[in-house]
Amino acid sequence: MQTAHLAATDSREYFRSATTADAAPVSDDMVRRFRRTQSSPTTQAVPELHISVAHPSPPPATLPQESLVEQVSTQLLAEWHGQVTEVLASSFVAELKGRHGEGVAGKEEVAVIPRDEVSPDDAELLEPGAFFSLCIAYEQSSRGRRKFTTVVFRRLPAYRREELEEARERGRQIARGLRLE
Amino acid sequence: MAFDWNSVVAPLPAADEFEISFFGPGHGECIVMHVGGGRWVVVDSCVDTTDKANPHPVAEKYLTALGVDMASAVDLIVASHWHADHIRGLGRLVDRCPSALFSCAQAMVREEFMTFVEEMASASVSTYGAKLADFREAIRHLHDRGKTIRWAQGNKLLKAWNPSGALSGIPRCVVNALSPSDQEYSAFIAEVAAARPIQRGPKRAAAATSPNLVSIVLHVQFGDLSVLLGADMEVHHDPQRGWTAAIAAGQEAGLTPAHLLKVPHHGSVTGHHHELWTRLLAPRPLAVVTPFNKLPDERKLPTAADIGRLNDLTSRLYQTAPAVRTSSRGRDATVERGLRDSNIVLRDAAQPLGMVRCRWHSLAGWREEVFPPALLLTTPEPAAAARTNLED
Repeated sequence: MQTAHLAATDSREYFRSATTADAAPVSDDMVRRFRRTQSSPTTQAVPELHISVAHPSPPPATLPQESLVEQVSTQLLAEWHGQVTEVLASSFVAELKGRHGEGVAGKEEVAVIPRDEVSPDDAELLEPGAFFSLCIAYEQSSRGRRKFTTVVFRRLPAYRREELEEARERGRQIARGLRLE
Repeated sequence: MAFDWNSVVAPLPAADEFEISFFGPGHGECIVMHVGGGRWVVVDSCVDTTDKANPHPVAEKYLTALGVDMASAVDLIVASHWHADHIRGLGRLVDRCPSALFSCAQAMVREEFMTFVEEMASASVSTYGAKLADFREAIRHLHDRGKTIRWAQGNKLLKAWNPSGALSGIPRCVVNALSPSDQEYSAFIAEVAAARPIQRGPKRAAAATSPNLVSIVLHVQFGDLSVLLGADMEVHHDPQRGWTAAIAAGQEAGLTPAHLLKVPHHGSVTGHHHELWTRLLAPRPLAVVTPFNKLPDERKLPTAADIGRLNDLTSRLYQTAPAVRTSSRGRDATVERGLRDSNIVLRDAAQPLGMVRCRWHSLAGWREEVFPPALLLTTPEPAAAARTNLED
Protein backbone atom coordinates (compact mmCIF):
# COMPACT_ATOMS: atom_id res chain seq x y z
CA MET A 1 0.00 0.00 0.00
CA GLN A 2 1.29 3.42 -0.88
CA THR A 3 1.59 6.00 1.82
CA ALA A 4 1.21 9.72 1.44
CA HIS A 5 4.05 11.28 3.39
CA LEU A 6 2.67 14.51 4.66
CA ALA A 7 5.04 16.83 6.45
CA ALA A 8 2.82 19.67 7.46
CA THR A 9 1.42 21.38 10.46
CA ASP A 10 -2.03 21.61 9.03
CA SER A 11 -4.29 19.41 6.90
CA ARG A 12 -4.34 22.23 4.36
CA GLU A 13 -1.13 20.81 2.99
CA TYR A 14 -2.93 17.62 2.18
CA PHE A 15 -5.30 19.43 -0.12
CA ARG A 16 -2.52 21.42 -1.68
CA SER A 17 -0.83 18.17 -2.61
CA ALA A 18 -4.04 16.49 -3.62
CA THR A 19 -5.30 19.11 -6.03
CA THR A 20 -3.67 20.77 -8.97
CA ALA A 21 -1.86 24.05 -8.92
CA ASP A 22 -4.75 26.05 -10.27
CA ALA A 23 -7.09 25.04 -7.48
CA ALA A 24 -8.18 27.70 -5.03
CA PRO A 25 -6.56 27.90 -1.57
CA VAL A 26 -7.70 25.30 0.89
CA SER A 27 -10.38 26.62 3.17
CA ASP A 28 -11.02 25.81 6.81
CA ASP A 29 -14.19 24.13 5.68
CA MET A 30 -12.33 21.81 3.33
CA VAL A 31 -10.09 20.76 6.18
CA ARG A 32 -13.06 20.21 8.46
CA ARG A 33 -14.82 18.09 5.86
CA PHE A 34 -11.73 16.07 5.19
CA ARG A 35 -11.63 15.22 8.86
CA ARG A 36 -15.23 14.06 8.87
CA THR A 37 -15.41 10.50 10.12
CA GLN A 38 -17.03 8.00 7.78
CA SER A 39 -16.43 4.87 9.79
CA SER A 40 -15.78 3.82 13.34
CA PRO A 41 -12.30 3.90 14.85
CA THR A 42 -10.45 0.65 14.39
CA THR A 43 -7.96 -1.19 16.54
CA GLN A 44 -5.69 -2.17 13.69
CA ALA A 45 -1.97 -1.62 13.69
CA VAL A 46 -0.99 2.02 13.68
CA PRO A 47 0.96 3.14 10.63
CA GLU A 48 3.99 5.35 10.90
CA LEU A 49 3.28 8.94 11.85
CA HIS A 50 4.27 11.71 9.55
CA ILE A 51 2.61 14.91 10.56
CA SER A 52 1.60 16.88 13.58
CA VAL A 53 -1.75 18.56 13.34
CA ALA A 54 -3.24 21.03 15.76
CA HIS A 55 -6.52 19.92 17.29
CA PRO A 56 -9.28 21.70 15.38
CA SER A 57 -11.52 22.44 18.40
CA PRO A 58 -10.93 25.49 20.61
CA PRO A 59 -9.19 24.36 23.80
CA PRO A 60 -10.92 24.58 27.21
CA ALA A 61 -9.38 27.46 29.09
CA THR A 62 -8.37 25.32 32.03
CA LEU A 63 -6.14 22.85 30.15
CA PRO A 64 -2.40 23.41 29.92
CA GLN A 65 -1.29 24.45 26.45
CA GLU A 66 0.95 21.39 25.87
CA SER A 67 -1.98 18.96 26.09
CA LEU A 68 -3.82 20.67 23.26
CA VAL A 69 -1.52 19.44 20.51
CA GLU A 70 -2.39 15.95 19.33
CA GLN A 71 -0.22 13.80 17.13
CA VAL A 72 -2.23 12.94 14.04
CA SER A 73 -1.11 10.93 11.07
CA THR A 74 -2.94 10.95 7.77
CA GLN A 75 -2.47 8.12 5.33
CA LEU A 76 -3.92 8.65 1.91
CA LEU A 77 -5.22 5.35 0.57
CA ALA A 78 -6.79 6.40 -2.71
CA GLU A 79 -7.48 9.54 -4.62
CA TRP A 80 -9.36 10.27 -7.84
CA HIS A 81 -9.93 13.46 -9.77
CA GLY A 82 -13.46 13.61 -11.11
CA GLN A 83 -15.76 15.51 -13.38
CA VAL A 84 -19.51 15.56 -12.85
CA THR A 85 -21.41 14.42 -15.92
CA GLU A 86 -24.94 14.19 -14.61
CA VAL A 87 -26.73 15.17 -11.43
CA LEU A 88 -29.57 12.87 -10.38
CA ALA A 89 -32.11 13.14 -7.58
CA SER A 90 -30.08 11.41 -4.89
CA SER A 91 -26.72 10.87 -6.54
CA PHE A 92 -24.46 12.18 -9.24
CA VAL A 93 -22.55 10.48 -12.03
CA ALA A 94 -18.93 11.34 -12.63
CA GLU A 95 -15.93 10.34 -14.68
CA LEU A 96 -12.91 9.62 -12.53
CA LYS A 97 -9.23 9.35 -13.18
CA GLY A 98 -7.26 7.60 -10.47
CA ARG A 99 -4.37 9.63 -9.07
CA HIS A 100 -3.13 7.61 -6.14
CA GLY A 101 -3.49 4.16 -4.65
CA GLU A 102 -3.05 0.51 -5.42
CA GLY A 103 -5.32 -0.49 -8.28
CA VAL A 104 -6.46 3.11 -8.56
CA ALA A 105 -3.69 5.26 -10.05
CA GLY A 106 -4.00 5.71 -13.78
CA LYS A 107 -7.35 3.94 -14.09
CA GLU A 108 -10.38 5.59 -15.62
CA GLU A 109 -13.68 4.85 -14.00
CA VAL A 110 -17.30 5.90 -13.90
CA ALA A 111 -18.74 6.61 -10.47
CA VAL A 112 -22.17 7.00 -8.97
CA ILE A 113 -21.76 9.01 -5.77
CA PRO A 114 -24.55 9.79 -3.27
CA ARG A 115 -25.28 13.48 -2.99
CA ASP A 116 -25.01 13.01 0.79
CA GLU A 117 -21.25 12.92 0.28
CA VAL A 118 -21.28 16.53 -0.85
CA SER A 119 -21.20 19.00 2.00
CA PRO A 120 -23.90 21.67 2.10
CA ASP A 121 -21.20 24.25 1.47
CA ASP A 122 -20.32 22.59 -1.83
CA ALA A 123 -23.88 21.92 -2.90
CA GLU A 124 -23.92 24.94 -5.18
CA LEU A 125 -20.85 23.61 -6.97
CA LEU A 126 -22.50 20.30 -7.82
CA GLU A 127 -23.42 20.70 -11.46
CA PRO A 128 -22.46 19.00 -14.71
CA GLY A 129 -18.92 19.95 -15.65
CA ALA A 130 -17.76 20.59 -12.06
CA PHE A 131 -14.44 19.13 -10.91
CA PHE A 132 -13.75 17.47 -7.60
CA SER A 133 -11.40 15.20 -5.71
CA LEU A 134 -12.54 11.97 -4.11
CA CYS A 135 -10.23 10.72 -1.37
CA ILE A 136 -10.17 7.79 1.02
CA ALA A 137 -7.70 8.11 3.86
CA TYR A 138 -6.88 6.99 7.37
CA GLU A 139 -6.36 9.45 10.17
CA GLN A 140 -4.53 8.14 13.21
CA SER A 141 -4.76 9.97 16.49
CA SER A 142 -4.70 9.11 20.17
CA ARG A 143 -8.40 8.33 19.84
CA GLY A 144 -7.77 5.57 17.32
CA ARG A 145 -7.74 5.20 13.60
CA ARG A 146 -10.53 6.54 11.47
CA LYS A 147 -11.24 6.04 7.81
CA PHE A 148 -12.43 9.04 5.84
CA THR A 149 -14.13 9.38 2.51
CA THR A 150 -14.30 12.90 1.27
CA VAL A 151 -15.55 14.67 -1.82
CA VAL A 152 -14.06 18.12 -2.22
CA PHE A 153 -15.11 20.29 -5.12
CA ARG A 154 -12.49 22.36 -6.79
CA ARG A 155 -13.02 26.05 -6.98
CA LEU A 156 -11.30 26.77 -10.24
CA PRO A 157 -10.07 30.20 -11.21
CA ALA A 158 -12.68 32.39 -12.81
CA TYR A 159 -12.70 33.16 -16.50
CA ARG A 160 -10.79 36.33 -17.25
CA ARG A 161 -12.17 38.81 -19.72
CA GLU A 162 -9.07 38.61 -21.91
CA GLU A 163 -9.13 34.85 -22.28
CA LEU A 164 -12.84 34.82 -23.05
CA GLU A 165 -12.35 37.50 -25.69
CA GLU A 166 -9.48 35.56 -27.20
CA ALA A 167 -11.54 32.37 -27.24
CA ARG A 168 -14.48 34.14 -28.84
CA GLU A 169 -12.24 35.61 -31.51
CA ARG A 170 -10.81 32.16 -32.25
CA GLY A 171 -14.34 30.76 -32.49
CA ARG A 172 -15.39 33.53 -34.86
CA GLN A 173 -12.34 33.01 -37.05
CA ILE A 174 -12.89 29.27 -37.29
CA ALA A 175 -16.62 29.60 -37.99
CA ARG A 176 -16.02 32.17 -40.69
CA GLY A 177 -13.28 30.06 -42.24
CA LEU A 178 -15.41 26.94 -42.58
CA ARG A 179 -16.72 26.01 -45.99
CA LEU A 180 -20.35 25.05 -45.52
CA GLU A 181 -22.83 23.74 -48.00
CA MET B 1 -10.67 -8.06 -22.05
CA ALA B 2 -9.27 -6.59 -25.24
CA PHE B 3 -11.37 -6.96 -28.34
CA ASP B 4 -9.88 -9.44 -30.80
CA TRP B 5 -9.74 -7.49 -34.04
CA ASN B 6 -8.43 -10.57 -35.83
CA SER B 7 -11.80 -12.20 -35.19
CA VAL B 8 -13.58 -9.70 -37.45
CA VAL B 9 -11.27 -10.19 -40.41
CA ALA B 10 -13.30 -11.34 -43.37
CA PRO B 11 -13.26 -11.03 -47.13
CA LEU B 12 -14.22 -7.52 -48.15
CA PRO B 13 -17.87 -7.13 -49.12
CA ALA B 14 -18.55 -7.54 -52.82
CA ALA B 15 -19.02 -4.40 -54.88
CA ASP B 16 -22.77 -4.97 -54.94
CA GLU B 17 -23.00 -5.98 -51.29
CA PHE B 18 -24.13 -3.68 -48.48
CA GLU B 19 -22.54 -3.95 -45.06
CA ILE B 20 -23.41 -2.20 -41.84
CA SER B 21 -21.44 -2.88 -38.68
CA PHE B 22 -22.43 -1.60 -35.25
CA PHE B 23 -20.03 -1.04 -32.37
CA GLY B 24 -21.13 -0.03 -28.90
CA PRO B 25 -19.31 -0.87 -25.68
CA GLY B 26 -21.96 0.60 -23.40
CA HIS B 27 -20.83 4.19 -23.56
CA GLY B 28 -20.03 5.13 -27.10
CA GLU B 29 -21.16 3.95 -30.46
CA CYS B 30 -20.07 3.88 -34.07
CA ILE B 31 -21.52 2.59 -37.31
CA VAL B 32 -19.43 1.63 -40.33
CA MET B 33 -21.14 1.03 -43.68
CA HIS B 34 -20.03 -0.30 -47.04
CA VAL B 35 -22.20 1.47 -49.59
CA GLY B 36 -21.01 -0.43 -52.67
CA GLY B 37 -18.03 -0.35 -54.95
CA GLY B 38 -15.52 -0.31 -52.10
CA ARG B 39 -16.81 2.99 -50.72
CA TRP B 40 -17.36 3.43 -46.96
CA VAL B 41 -19.29 5.65 -44.57
CA VAL B 42 -18.71 6.17 -40.83
CA VAL B 43 -21.43 7.47 -38.53
CA ASP B 44 -20.25 8.69 -35.11
CA SER B 45 -17.12 7.58 -33.32
CA CYS B 46 -16.10 5.75 -30.19
CA VAL B 47 -12.72 4.39 -29.20
CA ASP B 48 -11.48 0.96 -28.25
CA THR B 49 -10.78 1.57 -24.57
CA THR B 50 -9.91 -2.09 -24.06
CA ASP B 51 -6.66 -1.50 -25.91
CA LYS B 52 -4.77 0.71 -23.48
CA ALA B 53 -1.78 1.07 -25.79
CA ASN B 54 -3.84 2.08 -28.84
CA PRO B 55 -7.22 3.47 -27.79
CA HIS B 56 -8.00 4.48 -31.35
CA PRO B 57 -11.39 4.93 -33.04
CA VAL B 58 -13.10 1.60 -33.60
CA ALA B 59 -13.84 2.56 -37.22
CA GLU B 60 -10.11 2.90 -37.82
CA LYS B 61 -9.38 -0.42 -36.16
CA TYR B 62 -12.12 -2.22 -38.05
CA LEU B 63 -11.30 -0.86 -41.48
CA THR B 64 -7.61 -1.50 -40.90
CA ALA B 65 -8.39 -5.08 -39.88
CA LEU B 66 -10.32 -5.54 -43.14
CA GLY B 67 -7.46 -4.06 -45.12
CA VAL B 68 -9.36 -0.97 -46.25
CA ASP B 69 -7.33 2.15 -47.02
CA MET B 70 -9.21 4.69 -44.93
CA ALA B 71 -7.50 7.67 -46.48
CA SER B 72 -9.04 6.98 -49.87
CA ALA B 73 -12.02 4.70 -49.26
CA VAL B 74 -14.05 6.58 -46.65
CA ASP B 75 -16.32 9.03 -48.46
CA LEU B 76 -18.52 10.33 -45.66
CA ILE B 77 -18.24 10.86 -41.91
CA VAL B 78 -21.35 11.91 -40.02
CA ALA B 79 -21.25 13.23 -36.45
CA SER B 80 -24.85 12.75 -35.39
CA HIS B 81 -24.51 15.06 -32.37
CA TRP B 82 -21.89 16.15 -29.83
CA HIS B 83 -22.60 13.85 -26.90
CA ALA B 84 -19.41 12.26 -25.61
CA ASP B 85 -20.63 8.78 -26.48
CA HIS B 86 -20.79 9.70 -30.16
CA ILE B 87 -17.66 11.77 -30.80
CA ARG B 88 -14.74 10.18 -28.99
CA GLY B 89 -11.87 9.84 -31.40
CA LEU B 90 -13.65 11.97 -34.01
CA GLY B 91 -10.64 14.26 -34.48
CA ARG B 92 -8.34 11.36 -35.27
CA LEU B 93 -10.94 9.79 -37.53
CA VAL B 94 -11.33 12.97 -39.59
CA ASP B 95 -7.56 13.29 -39.76
CA ARG B 96 -7.20 9.72 -41.05
CA CYS B 97 -9.88 10.16 -43.71
CA PRO B 98 -8.83 13.25 -45.64
CA SER B 99 -10.99 12.46 -48.65
CA ALA B 100 -14.19 12.08 -46.62
CA LEU B 101 -16.98 14.62 -46.69
CA PHE B 102 -17.91 15.62 -43.13
CA SER B 103 -21.47 16.21 -42.05
CA CYS B 104 -22.98 17.43 -38.80
CA ALA B 105 -25.94 19.52 -37.72
CA GLN B 106 -25.88 23.08 -38.99
CA ALA B 107 -26.06 24.43 -35.46
CA MET B 108 -22.78 22.72 -34.59
CA VAL B 109 -20.78 24.69 -37.15
CA ARG B 110 -22.31 28.09 -36.55
CA GLU B 111 -20.37 30.88 -34.93
CA GLU B 112 -22.34 30.55 -31.69
CA PHE B 113 -21.26 26.96 -31.14
CA MET B 114 -17.70 27.43 -32.41
CA THR B 115 -17.30 30.27 -29.93
CA PHE B 116 -18.67 28.09 -27.15
CA VAL B 117 -16.22 25.33 -28.07
CA GLU B 118 -13.27 27.72 -27.89
CA GLU B 119 -14.47 29.22 -24.62
CA MET B 120 -14.69 25.80 -23.03
CA ALA B 121 -11.29 24.85 -24.41
CA SER B 122 -9.78 27.86 -22.70
CA ALA B 123 -10.66 26.37 -19.31
CA SER B 124 -7.70 24.01 -19.80
CA VAL B 125 -9.23 21.40 -17.57
CA SER B 126 -10.31 17.97 -18.61
CA THR B 127 -10.72 14.40 -17.51
CA TYR B 128 -10.74 11.38 -19.71
CA GLY B 129 -14.08 12.13 -21.29
CA ALA B 130 -12.65 14.70 -23.62
CA LYS B 131 -16.02 15.51 -25.19
CA LEU B 132 -15.73 18.80 -26.98
CA ALA B 133 -12.00 18.44 -27.50
CA ASP B 134 -12.63 15.64 -30.00
CA PHE B 135 -15.16 17.71 -31.91
CA ARG B 136 -12.88 20.75 -31.79
CA GLU B 137 -10.01 18.73 -33.21
CA ALA B 138 -12.17 17.45 -36.06
CA ILE B 139 -13.38 20.93 -36.97
CA ARG B 140 -9.84 22.28 -36.87
CA HIS B 141 -8.65 19.60 -39.30
CA LEU B 142 -11.48 20.51 -41.67
CA HIS B 143 -10.81 24.22 -41.29
CA ASP B 144 -7.08 23.90 -41.87
CA ARG B 145 -7.59 21.71 -44.94
CA GLY B 146 -10.27 23.95 -46.38
CA LYS B 147 -12.65 21.01 -46.50
CA THR B 148 -16.33 21.44 -47.15
CA ILE B 149 -18.78 20.56 -44.41
CA ARG B 150 -22.22 19.47 -45.51
CA TRP B 151 -24.54 20.47 -42.72
CA ALA B 152 -27.53 18.29 -42.18
CA GLN B 153 -31.17 19.16 -41.71
CA GLY B 154 -34.51 17.46 -42.23
CA ASN B 155 -34.90 16.04 -45.72
CA LYS B 156 -31.45 16.90 -47.08
CA LEU B 157 -29.34 14.71 -49.33
CA LEU B 158 -25.93 14.21 -47.79
CA LYS B 159 -24.29 12.05 -50.43
CA ALA B 160 -25.12 9.72 -53.31
CA TRP B 161 -23.07 7.03 -55.04
CA ASN B 162 -23.65 5.87 -58.56
CA PRO B 163 -26.72 8.12 -58.71
CA SER B 164 -27.40 7.52 -62.38
CA GLY B 165 -26.69 3.80 -62.22
CA ALA B 166 -23.85 4.26 -64.71
CA LEU B 167 -21.68 1.77 -62.85
CA SER B 168 -23.23 -1.53 -63.83
CA GLY B 169 -23.53 -4.12 -61.11
CA ILE B 170 -23.30 -1.59 -58.27
CA PRO B 171 -26.61 -0.48 -56.75
CA ARG B 172 -27.34 3.20 -56.43
CA CYS B 173 -26.86 4.41 -52.85
CA VAL B 174 -28.24 7.57 -51.28
CA VAL B 175 -27.82 8.90 -47.72
CA ASN B 176 -30.49 11.38 -46.63
CA ALA B 177 -30.79 13.27 -43.36
CA LEU B 178 -34.25 13.45 -41.78
CA SER B 179 -33.29 15.87 -39.03
CA PRO B 180 -32.69 18.20 -37.29
CA SER B 181 -35.54 20.59 -37.97
CA ASP B 182 -35.31 24.37 -38.10
CA GLN B 183 -36.92 24.52 -34.67
CA GLU B 184 -34.19 22.29 -33.26
CA TYR B 185 -31.59 24.60 -34.69
CA SER B 186 -33.08 27.60 -32.89
CA ALA B 187 -33.52 25.69 -29.63
CA PHE B 188 -29.94 24.43 -29.72
CA ILE B 189 -28.47 27.86 -30.33
CA ALA B 190 -30.52 29.20 -27.40
CA GLU B 191 -29.24 26.39 -25.14
CA VAL B 192 -25.66 27.03 -26.13
CA ALA B 193 -26.07 30.73 -25.42
CA ALA B 194 -27.36 29.92 -21.94
CA ALA B 195 -24.46 27.53 -21.27
CA ARG B 196 -21.67 29.87 -22.31
CA PRO B 197 -19.23 30.90 -19.59
CA ILE B 198 -19.24 34.39 -18.20
CA GLN B 199 -16.47 36.62 -17.05
CA ARG B 200 -15.61 35.94 -13.40
CA GLY B 201 -17.71 32.76 -13.55
CA PRO B 202 -15.98 29.54 -12.44
CA LYS B 203 -14.26 27.42 -15.06
CA ARG B 204 -15.87 24.08 -15.74
CA ALA B 205 -16.08 21.43 -18.37
CA ALA B 206 -18.64 21.53 -21.14
CA ALA B 207 -21.76 19.66 -20.16
CA ALA B 208 -24.39 18.58 -22.61
CA THR B 209 -27.83 20.00 -22.07
CA SER B 210 -30.30 18.32 -24.40
CA PRO B 211 -28.60 18.01 -27.76
CA ASN B 212 -30.26 14.68 -28.51
CA LEU B 213 -32.91 16.57 -30.40
CA VAL B 214 -30.37 17.94 -32.86
CA SER B 215 -29.39 14.37 -33.66
CA ILE B 216 -29.13 13.49 -37.31
CA VAL B 217 -31.47 10.66 -38.28
CA LEU B 218 -30.23 9.03 -41.47
CA HIS B 219 -32.03 7.09 -44.17
CA VAL B 220 -29.79 4.97 -46.38
CA GLN B 221 -31.09 3.59 -49.65
CA PHE B 222 -28.97 0.89 -51.29
CA GLY B 223 -30.73 -0.51 -54.33
CA ASP B 224 -33.97 -1.98 -52.99
CA LEU B 225 -32.69 -2.03 -49.43
CA SER B 226 -33.40 0.73 -46.92
CA VAL B 227 -31.83 1.31 -43.54
CA LEU B 228 -32.81 3.84 -40.88
CA LEU B 229 -30.28 5.06 -38.32
CA GLY B 230 -32.14 6.64 -35.41
CA ALA B 231 -29.13 8.24 -33.64
CA ASP B 232 -30.25 9.50 -30.22
CA MET B 233 -33.41 11.14 -31.48
CA GLU B 234 -36.18 11.45 -28.90
CA VAL B 235 -39.82 12.42 -28.83
CA HIS B 236 -40.83 16.04 -28.19
CA HIS B 237 -44.28 17.46 -27.53
CA ASP B 238 -43.71 20.13 -30.19
CA PRO B 239 -44.61 18.54 -33.56
CA GLN B 240 -41.93 20.66 -35.20
CA ARG B 241 -39.26 18.97 -33.12
CA GLY B 242 -37.94 15.50 -32.30
CA TRP B 243 -39.30 12.34 -33.93
CA THR B 244 -42.54 13.91 -35.13
CA ALA B 245 -40.60 16.34 -37.29
CA ALA B 246 -38.16 13.67 -38.52
CA ILE B 247 -41.00 11.32 -39.48
CA ALA B 248 -42.73 14.14 -41.36
CA ALA B 249 -39.50 14.86 -43.23
CA GLY B 250 -39.19 11.21 -44.19
CA GLN B 251 -42.75 11.05 -45.45
CA GLU B 252 -42.38 14.26 -47.37
CA ALA B 253 -39.38 12.79 -49.15
CA GLY B 254 -41.32 9.63 -49.96
CA LEU B 255 -38.62 7.38 -48.57
CA THR B 256 -38.90 3.63 -48.79
CA PRO B 257 -39.75 1.89 -45.48
CA ALA B 258 -36.55 0.63 -43.90
CA HIS B 259 -35.68 -3.03 -43.36
CA LEU B 260 -33.10 -2.42 -40.67
CA LEU B 261 -33.20 0.03 -37.78
CA LYS B 262 -30.48 1.33 -35.54
CA VAL B 263 -32.78 1.76 -32.56
CA PRO B 264 -32.86 5.39 -31.42
CA HIS B 265 -31.52 6.52 -28.06
CA HIS B 266 -30.42 3.15 -26.74
CA GLY B 267 -33.94 1.74 -26.95
CA SER B 268 -35.36 4.14 -24.38
CA VAL B 269 -39.06 4.88 -24.19
CA THR B 270 -38.25 8.56 -24.80
CA GLY B 271 -36.90 7.55 -28.19
CA HIS B 272 -39.97 5.51 -29.07
CA HIS B 273 -42.50 7.01 -31.47
CA HIS B 274 -45.29 4.74 -32.71
CA GLU B 275 -45.38 6.34 -36.17
CA LEU B 276 -41.71 5.61 -36.71
CA TRP B 277 -42.69 1.94 -36.84
CA THR B 278 -45.75 2.40 -39.01
CA ARG B 279 -44.54 5.07 -41.43
CA LEU B 280 -40.78 4.77 -41.86
CA LEU B 281 -40.14 1.07 -41.23
CA ALA B 282 -41.14 -2.14 -42.94
CA PRO B 283 -43.06 -4.58 -40.69
CA ARG B 284 -40.85 -6.32 -38.12
CA PRO B 285 -37.49 -5.05 -39.31
CA LEU B 286 -34.11 -6.26 -38.22
CA ALA B 287 -32.86 -3.99 -35.42
CA VAL B 288 -29.70 -3.25 -33.47
CA VAL B 289 -29.63 -1.40 -30.16
CA THR B 290 -26.56 0.11 -28.52
CA PRO B 291 -26.71 0.15 -24.71
CA PHE B 292 -25.98 3.08 -22.42
CA ASN B 293 -24.63 1.88 -19.10
CA LYS B 294 -22.97 4.94 -17.65
CA LEU B 295 -25.85 5.73 -15.32
CA PRO B 296 -26.74 3.74 -12.16
CA ASP B 297 -27.78 0.18 -12.93
CA GLU B 298 -31.45 0.95 -12.33
CA ARG B 299 -31.29 3.55 -15.12
CA LYS B 300 -29.31 1.59 -17.67
CA LEU B 301 -30.62 1.41 -21.21
CA PRO B 302 -32.27 -0.50 -22.68
CA THR B 303 -34.44 -1.63 -19.77
CA ALA B 304 -36.18 -5.01 -19.70
CA ALA B 305 -39.39 -3.23 -20.71
CA ASP B 306 -37.60 -1.58 -23.64
CA ILE B 307 -36.32 -4.94 -24.82
CA GLY B 308 -39.78 -6.46 -24.54
CA ARG B 309 -41.31 -3.65 -26.58
CA LEU B 310 -38.59 -3.87 -29.23
CA ASN B 311 -38.83 -7.65 -29.45
CA ASP B 312 -42.52 -7.32 -30.25
CA LEU B 313 -41.75 -4.95 -33.10
CA THR B 314 -38.73 -6.59 -34.71
CA SER B 315 -37.85 -9.83 -36.40
CA ARG B 316 -34.43 -10.02 -34.79
CA LEU B 317 -33.01 -7.66 -32.19
CA TYR B 318 -29.30 -7.42 -31.44
CA GLN B 319 -27.48 -5.52 -28.73
CA THR B 320 -23.84 -4.54 -29.15
CA ALA B 321 -22.79 -5.06 -25.51
CA PRO B 322 -24.26 -5.92 -22.11
CA ALA B 323 -26.30 -3.17 -20.51
CA VAL B 324 -24.68 -3.67 -17.11
CA ARG B 325 -21.28 -2.15 -16.66
CA THR B 326 -18.55 -4.36 -15.19
CA SER B 327 -17.01 -3.44 -11.86
CA SER B 328 -13.45 -2.25 -11.73
CA ARG B 329 -11.06 -4.45 -9.76
CA GLY B 330 -7.67 -4.53 -8.16
CA ARG B 331 -8.19 -1.97 -5.42
CA ASP B 332 -7.01 -2.41 -1.88
CA ALA B 333 -9.61 -4.05 0.38
CA THR B 334 -9.66 -1.03 2.70
CA VAL B 335 -10.43 1.26 -0.20
CA GLU B 336 -13.21 -1.07 -1.28
CA ARG B 337 -14.69 -0.91 2.21
CA GLY B 338 -14.44 2.87 2.20
CA LEU B 339 -16.32 3.06 -1.07
CA ARG B 340 -18.91 0.57 0.12
CA ASP B 341 -19.42 2.40 3.42
CA SER B 342 -20.15 5.57 1.47
CA ASN B 343 -22.37 3.83 -1.10
CA ILE B 344 -20.05 4.92 -3.88
CA VAL B 345 -20.19 2.64 -6.91
CA LEU B 346 -17.25 2.56 -9.30
CA ARG B 347 -17.31 0.90 -12.68
CA ASP B 348 -14.47 0.45 -15.11
CA ALA B 349 -14.60 3.07 -17.86
CA ALA B 350 -13.13 0.58 -20.30
CA GLN B 351 -15.98 -1.72 -21.18
CA PRO B 352 -15.88 -4.80 -23.38
CA LEU B 353 -16.43 -3.91 -26.99
CA GLY B 354 -18.96 -5.86 -29.01
CA MET B 355 -19.89 -5.77 -32.66
CA VAL B 356 -22.80 -6.76 -34.87
CA ARG B 357 -22.09 -7.06 -38.59
CA CYS B 358 -24.92 -7.29 -41.11
CA ARG B 359 -24.25 -7.89 -44.79
CA TRP B 360 -26.96 -7.76 -47.42
CA HIS B 361 -27.03 -8.86 -51.02
CA SER B 362 -30.02 -8.63 -53.31
CA LEU B 363 -29.84 -12.35 -54.03
CA ALA B 364 -28.88 -13.69 -50.61
CA GLY B 365 -30.67 -11.30 -48.24
CA TRP B 366 -29.27 -10.60 -44.77
CA ARG B 367 -26.31 -12.38 -43.21
CA GLU B 368 -25.66 -11.37 -39.61
CA GLU B 369 -22.63 -12.01 -37.42
CA VAL B 370 -22.37 -11.34 -33.71
CA PHE B 371 -19.03 -10.73 -32.02
CA PRO B 372 -19.32 -11.10 -28.22
CA PRO B 373 -20.14 -9.52 -25.93
CA ALA B 374 -22.72 -8.43 -28.51
CA LEU B 375 -25.78 -10.64 -28.31
CA LEU B 376 -29.05 -11.58 -29.93
CA LEU B 377 -31.96 -10.49 -27.71
CA THR B 378 -34.75 -12.03 -29.70
CA THR B 379 -36.48 -14.88 -27.98
CA PRO B 380 -37.17 -17.76 -30.37
CA GLU B 381 -40.85 -18.02 -31.19
CA PRO B 382 -42.53 -20.98 -29.44
CA ALA B 383 -43.21 -22.83 -32.71
CA ALA B 384 -39.65 -22.38 -33.89
CA ALA B 385 -38.28 -23.45 -30.51
CA ALA B 386 -40.46 -26.58 -30.52
CA ARG B 387 -39.36 -27.41 -34.03
CA THR B 388 -35.72 -27.05 -33.01
CA ASN B 389 -36.27 -29.34 -30.03
CA LEU B 390 -37.84 -32.01 -32.23
CA GLU B 391 -34.94 -31.83 -34.64
CA ASP B 392 -32.56 -32.29 -31.72
